[in-house]
Amino acid sequence: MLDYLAGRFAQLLIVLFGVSVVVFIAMHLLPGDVATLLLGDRATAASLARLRHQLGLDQPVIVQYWRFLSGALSGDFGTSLRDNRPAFGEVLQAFPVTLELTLSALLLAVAIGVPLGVAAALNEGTWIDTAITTPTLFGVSMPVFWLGLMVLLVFSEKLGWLPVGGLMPIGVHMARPTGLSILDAVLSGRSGLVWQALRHLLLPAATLATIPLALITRITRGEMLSSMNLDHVRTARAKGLPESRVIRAHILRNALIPIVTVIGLQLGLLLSGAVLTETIFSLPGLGRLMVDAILARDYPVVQAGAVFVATVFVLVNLGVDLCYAVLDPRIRRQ
Amino acid sequence: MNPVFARRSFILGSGMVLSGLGLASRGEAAAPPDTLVVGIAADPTGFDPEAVLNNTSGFVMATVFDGLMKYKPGTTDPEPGLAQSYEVSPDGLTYTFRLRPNVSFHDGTPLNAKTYLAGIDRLLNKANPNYIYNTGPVEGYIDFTYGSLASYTAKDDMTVVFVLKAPSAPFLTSLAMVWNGVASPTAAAKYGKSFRQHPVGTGPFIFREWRPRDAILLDANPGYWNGRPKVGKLVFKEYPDPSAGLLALKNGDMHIWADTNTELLPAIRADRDLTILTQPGLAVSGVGMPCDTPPFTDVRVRQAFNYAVDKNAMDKALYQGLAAPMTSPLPASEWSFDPSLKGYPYDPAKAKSLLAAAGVAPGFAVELLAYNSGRGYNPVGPDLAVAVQGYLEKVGVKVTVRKIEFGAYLTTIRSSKYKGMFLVGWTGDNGDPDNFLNALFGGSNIPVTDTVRYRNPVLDALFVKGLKSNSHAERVKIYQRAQRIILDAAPWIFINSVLQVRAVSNRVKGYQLNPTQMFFDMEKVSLT
Repeated sequence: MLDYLAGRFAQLLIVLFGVSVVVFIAMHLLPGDVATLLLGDRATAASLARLRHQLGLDQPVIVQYWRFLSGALSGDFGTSLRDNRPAFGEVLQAFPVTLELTLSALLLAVAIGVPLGVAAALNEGTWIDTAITTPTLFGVSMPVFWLGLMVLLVFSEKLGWLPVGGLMPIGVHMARPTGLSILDAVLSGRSGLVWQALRHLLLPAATLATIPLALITRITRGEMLSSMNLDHVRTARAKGLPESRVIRAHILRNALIPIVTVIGLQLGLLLSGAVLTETIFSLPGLGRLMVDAILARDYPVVQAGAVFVATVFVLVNLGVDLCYAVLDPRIRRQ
Repeated sequence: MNPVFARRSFILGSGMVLSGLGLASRGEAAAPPDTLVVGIAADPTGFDPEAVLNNTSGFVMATVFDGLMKYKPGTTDPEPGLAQSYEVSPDGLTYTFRLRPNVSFHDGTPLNAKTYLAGIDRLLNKANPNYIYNTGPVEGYIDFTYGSLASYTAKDDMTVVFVLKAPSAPFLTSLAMVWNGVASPTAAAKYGKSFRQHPVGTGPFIFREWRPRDAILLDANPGYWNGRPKVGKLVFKEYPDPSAGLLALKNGDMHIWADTNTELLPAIRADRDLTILTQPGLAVSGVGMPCDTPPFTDVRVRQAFNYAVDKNAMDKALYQGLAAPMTSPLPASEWSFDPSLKGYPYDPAKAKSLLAAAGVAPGFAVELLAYNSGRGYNPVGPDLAVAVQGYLEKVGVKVTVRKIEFGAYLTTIRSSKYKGMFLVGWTGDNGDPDNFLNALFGGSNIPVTDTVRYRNPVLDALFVKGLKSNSHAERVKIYQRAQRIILDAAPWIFINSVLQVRAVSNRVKGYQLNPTQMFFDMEKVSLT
């Protein structure tokens, strides 16, 4: 097991090196530089030259990369070219917002999607099946920005039940030691804040959950159906096991490996795909930070963010692989 | 999903939906009663007035800092700010400012000649331990404002004297810019590199907290020299999506929308609780033609292109009437604007005959480079290029529009090598005509801001004279003559000057737009 983990971490280092090179080259291949963007229409030749020098952009690309790499190896990703703050600090500050949003969305998707998929499979061909699978088709193909607007219109504007966006109501002060709104609200010991944090999270999480929810429902249904007629299920029924146990321990468990794979992949996708949701609901997350940084050619922040996201991606995949071992004793023995 | 496309569809979609549903109900509980909320679309990059340079940062800094001079409310005419009075010597070289007494920075540092000059020294003296260029990238207006400064000294405790190397007529106006806000030297020394995250000025609001990509929180400065602010707190709250911004405005979560999206104006107009404020801005927008590249070396071609485009129709169709056709290279809000100039009326027949006279055969093909998103001076972005394309085709010119990202666009048009036409625009910095005409058409500014590479020695001599002149009347004459020369030379297709547009809640009282777009005089704003 330790050898396995060591191997995976070695892979992680290779992935991170690859990501840093690719991102660095891609950012430098983009036309337009950060000094021009920062100074905009007002730049003069002298001010551009001076700002480029201050930002180190007048160095050869290879020197810039070496500076980045040597800094990164010692944990220093440099300072943002845009706002002069530590680049990795910005990533760490934005990440909890995205993490909370993503995990909540995934939790919603799994908590609703798996039971729905099971129910659809158990009632294959009936109206229940149709009632579940038809909306999921819409769910998979629903554009997030449209859905986000619709839920805002209905639940914030028309019904007035939920806030337009942000993490907390304007004027509410709360310390944010972890950056995770709900956890910080719990730590603050003020129950009103927990309620507010949940209210602010509900719409964005529900919006972000639609696609994975639909996907998980459909995968669960499909996997359940293909597991239902396997030999071991027939044997279990023949042994006289109660149907609920047959479903839980013999069909669903068998179906879970592909479901877990999909969940793992979705977690990665959600982490990188939350940008539209963060924009619509005015959330200060990693997606928006990255898009802003790319548009502003803020190399240090893009590099730090890419390395960070790649690390999380690899670790999530590792977690998924470890889940396989828990779910399937055969994998554990290998 | 292409985010630009997504965003655009989203804005249009929401505009239709909002008007269609005719939403009557008010939603979620609004912001606290004593808190004024200004909605912004982007994240600021910091708050050191001399180091950062973007509108969003400027919005906030205008409430935290004061300048030695300020703009008269609603105008770009300078009047004393932190200076109680000033004198200019007859030769235009010596400026003496008497500082306002009993003013303190938010950290308690008193404002006097010593503390004021410590701030100037931070900008200009490399040996100063807090030299601003050692704190990180500096994008500000230090050269622009103080480039002609020979010395800065204290005459007494409350009087400072600037001596210039050469007369610079726009100096007073420049001192009123938000980018020349006076910072506490104590705080600048204390925070060093992170001062831009901890701004301390003398303004009507005291900075409390910046939550990146979320909000900037400020408290009223009860001892403000120009009167205690009428609200207790001021919040700049970020709404990156325009539709969400509109909902926040309708809900009462936001009171003034700094970055009002003009595509949503129909929905805003439909709401009786909201008001749209407009004012002629300091912006001009057009299409640049490379004056050193045939056939644009021929003035008849450039004039023909101006006659070929119907600016009035475009203003109505594209800009919802929120723009005025350019009849001069200056916007109408400029004090030296020449109202007798009539610009180029729409006359395609004349355009055709001018093109024929210049030997440009029908079917002449040219590229038109466009930035791919809206700008302050051109909110419709690349749609302007598409409209111009349509008009030019009617006079036999085949135009290919190429849209690229703004950074790439700037690099291309400033390369001196680009041979096509391109969208071009400018927002004035300090309200002085030199800042438009010389910047955009002065030979010394090729290719960075004079991107059309237009050079005319007569005009350049006028600009030198305009900078030296100490007489307002003489300057008006100089810049009116310059306008005529530039208009005749037609280096741009002069399109329009957009109005500044902001949507506000009817609860807001005492708020006045400024042509520079900055949030000046916010101590006078109240909520009912």
